[in-house]
Amino acid sequence: MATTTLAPGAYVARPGLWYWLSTWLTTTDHKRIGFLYLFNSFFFFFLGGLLALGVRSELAVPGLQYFDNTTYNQLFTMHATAMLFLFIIPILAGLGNYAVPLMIGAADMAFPRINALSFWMLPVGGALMFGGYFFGGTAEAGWTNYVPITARAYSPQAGQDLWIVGLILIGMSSILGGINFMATIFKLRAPGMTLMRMPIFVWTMLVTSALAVFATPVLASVLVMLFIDRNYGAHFFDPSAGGSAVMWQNVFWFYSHPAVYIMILPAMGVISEVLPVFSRKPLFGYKAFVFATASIGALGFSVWAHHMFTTGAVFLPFFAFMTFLIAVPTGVKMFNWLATMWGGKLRFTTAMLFAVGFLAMFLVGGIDGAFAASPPVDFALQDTYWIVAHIHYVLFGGSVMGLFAGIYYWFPKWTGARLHEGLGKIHFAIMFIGSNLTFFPMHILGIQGMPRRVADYVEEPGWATINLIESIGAFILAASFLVFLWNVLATLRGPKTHEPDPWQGNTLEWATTSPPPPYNFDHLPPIRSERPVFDVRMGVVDDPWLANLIGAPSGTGRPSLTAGEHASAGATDAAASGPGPTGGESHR
Amino acid sequence: MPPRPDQRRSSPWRRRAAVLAVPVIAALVAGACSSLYPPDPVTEQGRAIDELYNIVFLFAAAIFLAIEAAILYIVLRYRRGARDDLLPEQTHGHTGAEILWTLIPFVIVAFLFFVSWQALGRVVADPAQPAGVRVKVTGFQWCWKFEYLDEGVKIEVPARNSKGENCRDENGGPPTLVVPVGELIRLQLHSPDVIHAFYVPQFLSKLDVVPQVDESRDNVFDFTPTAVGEYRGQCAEFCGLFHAEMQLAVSVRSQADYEAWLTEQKNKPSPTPPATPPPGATAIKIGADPVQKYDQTSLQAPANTPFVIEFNNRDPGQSHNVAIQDAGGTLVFNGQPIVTGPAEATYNVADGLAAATYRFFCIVHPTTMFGTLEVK
Repeated sequence: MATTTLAPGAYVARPGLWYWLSTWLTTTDHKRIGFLYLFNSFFFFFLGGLLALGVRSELAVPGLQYFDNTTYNQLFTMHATAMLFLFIIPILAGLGNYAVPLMIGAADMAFPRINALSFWMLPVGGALMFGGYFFGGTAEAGWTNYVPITARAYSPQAGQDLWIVGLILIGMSSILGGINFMATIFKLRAPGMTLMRMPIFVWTMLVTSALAVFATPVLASVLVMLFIDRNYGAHFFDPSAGGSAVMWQNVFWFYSHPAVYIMILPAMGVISEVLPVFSRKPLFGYKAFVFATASIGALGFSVWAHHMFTTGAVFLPFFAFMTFLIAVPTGVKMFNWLATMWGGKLRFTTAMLFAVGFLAMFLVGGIDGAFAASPPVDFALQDTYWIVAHIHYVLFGGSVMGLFAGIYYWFPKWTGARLHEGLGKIHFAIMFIGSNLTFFPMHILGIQGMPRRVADYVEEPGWATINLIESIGAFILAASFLVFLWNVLATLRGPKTHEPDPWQGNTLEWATTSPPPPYNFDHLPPIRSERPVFDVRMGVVDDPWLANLIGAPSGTGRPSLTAGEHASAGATDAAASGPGPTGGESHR
Repeated sequence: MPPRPDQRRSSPWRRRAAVLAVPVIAALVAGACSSLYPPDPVTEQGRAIDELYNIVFLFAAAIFLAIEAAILYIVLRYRRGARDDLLPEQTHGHTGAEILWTLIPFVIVAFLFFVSWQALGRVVADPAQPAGVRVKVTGFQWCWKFEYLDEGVKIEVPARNSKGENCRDENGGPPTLVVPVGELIRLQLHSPDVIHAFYVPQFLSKLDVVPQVDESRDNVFDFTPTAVGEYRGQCAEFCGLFHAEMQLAVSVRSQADYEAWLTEQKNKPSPTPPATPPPGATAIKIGADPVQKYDQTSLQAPANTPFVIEFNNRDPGQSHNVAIQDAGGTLVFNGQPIVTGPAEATYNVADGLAAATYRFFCIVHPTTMFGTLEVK
């Protein structure tokens, strides 16, 4: 079959570093863009991880040892910024970028160039946010960026403006990505791939994309308002001029609560692919799962004010009820996952271990949510380390566990070689122990009254010990990623087996080669259920596969250039309104 | 505990290890559970929260243990044998079971919502109830101030004491709110700058201190202390540089002790000016004009002797003060209180400064209001 005619601009290897680099800068292949997402996200993950180690080092013993207050405030702010906006959200979008077109039998995303643009906004946005370091200090008011602490009078440094501009770019990336995923999923499914035959991962990416498209513009608007407040003398959030300090929180959380689901739903989708494959059973209650995902997405828009129970400015019963209600679809998912494994033949590959680790740890994060949903209990827990424990059990125990399940699961598809299982299991074990050691004791500290975002803490009985345990846990956790890095590098250098279907998978990505050709499929199997590859393996469907006639697009450098232009424009804006003669150090 | 799923066969040794693990895990879980209880509440409102917490905790612990046990059981029970290539039964779902496990969580959360809603009435301030003591609590960057609205008593500590500690009196103690036991105390939470939160862990409660122009919209925090004692508190909403040091204390006393304390406070030479100029101290005058401007950009002061800064804020509606930092950027003095113009304040630099060139500035507007201070 003359494959190249299907993909006239597809990557053809030619020698030379510059050519190689240019192919990455100009690629519009969703798989290569997926790699770019992964690479960029892991860069910020390790950067954010280093910042976290800084935070934990400072807190290991009472007193200020390594950092002053300003530096510490920058550490935790940029840790959360990197982890949420530059790691979890993009890397899950990156997994989707690679997997969604393959899973629905498409050759690429619907808008390949916009896809590249969505990616290139990210490193640029991240560079702006961290670039503040060179202009008198980065943002230092926490990732929630509450006003008035971020008003010009209290945070004069240019880093705060750069943070805002960077986040607008990242938000733009999310919106464009969301539109692209929706268009791809609605329009490019292969013949036979009805909505109710889509892999659950695709469903979660669809709901995630809808959340991103509906919520992110709201964030962008509030960021622009704050930027105007800071630089052009408006008073949206200035109480002394008729603005409202709490309005920021309402609008910010209207985005950021759905954003929590943007961060967890794709991980749930990964788990819903990994558990059935390694249990050798279909997902239990596929339809219920789809409805649960959609209802989590819908309910996600009506619970934002549960982050604001202690502001005294929200109607508590409504938001408490809606928040409690989210536990129902989440509970359904948990039961469905357990029922999927029940009676199965479980094979504990590393991917499966991470999936089970997700169940064990996300459960804690989910149950924590029930405490925080009850306003009176939240009065005790809000803004303490208890909330820090909650967010880490959801986003680390949930999203990151799910992410690694996905990485170990899809790595052979991406590269043609499985990650080493022994190293993978060591990685899992160290990560599981390290994360629980770090995050579980935070519950205790929080309920005893240690507030979050403090550089130092009073010497209440036991606090020093618990903090020390957490800090040791953090370093154990960090060590697990060295094992992972070693595993990835060793595997990439090692022999490739190119098995198309190493795990006996169910979904379409396993019906093509590993790695897939630029245009993804030579042939597609007939799709008669949500497990087309399983059906073929079992001989349930006839074998004549359908030829795929959709071509892949050619490469272009425009997206990366456009993102660069945005960056320079944003930096110019922020620099023009930059710090006073003393920069951010003035109020030490 | 992590599941140990990578073992294909279970040997008698492993079974024995599993049996041994059970009490170890039970002890760990029991230990974790007991430390997951909040401190003993010392207010009526805190007790209501504590009771509610116990109910939520009971459900949480039961669900946690049941599901983790189920995970562990499934992981151990359904491991695939080494040469087992048979496909398990392909169950796609079970409508009855799925409806059941939709209803069970719904009933649980509906119940938890109901009890939470009930408890809210016992926790949230009710303006219809008459309060025994009313105090205006001002949280500002980075300290607390208490004004007894019916008594004319005011509790303040210097923003930095002579040892350089933030928000501490000369004995190193934080500002202390003294209240009588058994009475309803009503706090008006006021902020002139950013959002803070009034948090005393043993009250099991907190409320944000949100800046408002209209003081009638300030948040109101009610509590009825039930136990005499000293309780530590601090700001719980990130509020900037010295957030971690923005501490406070609540001293709950018997009615008689409270009355005695009140009389003592009222008889104090009123009010102990925070800036008693030591005899012979030099006075430096500086003012602030609209909008956000000092009337001078350079000041002189004598070295190593106390001096006072007489600050006249003529900038209406704007909060200013005079703070001093050395060449290395370290804050060596921060004039308190920050005053909102038009108003005057006298700042006492009690220890004087070593001879050097310093930078003075407004802590609220450090980039627009500053100048040099020559100390020689």
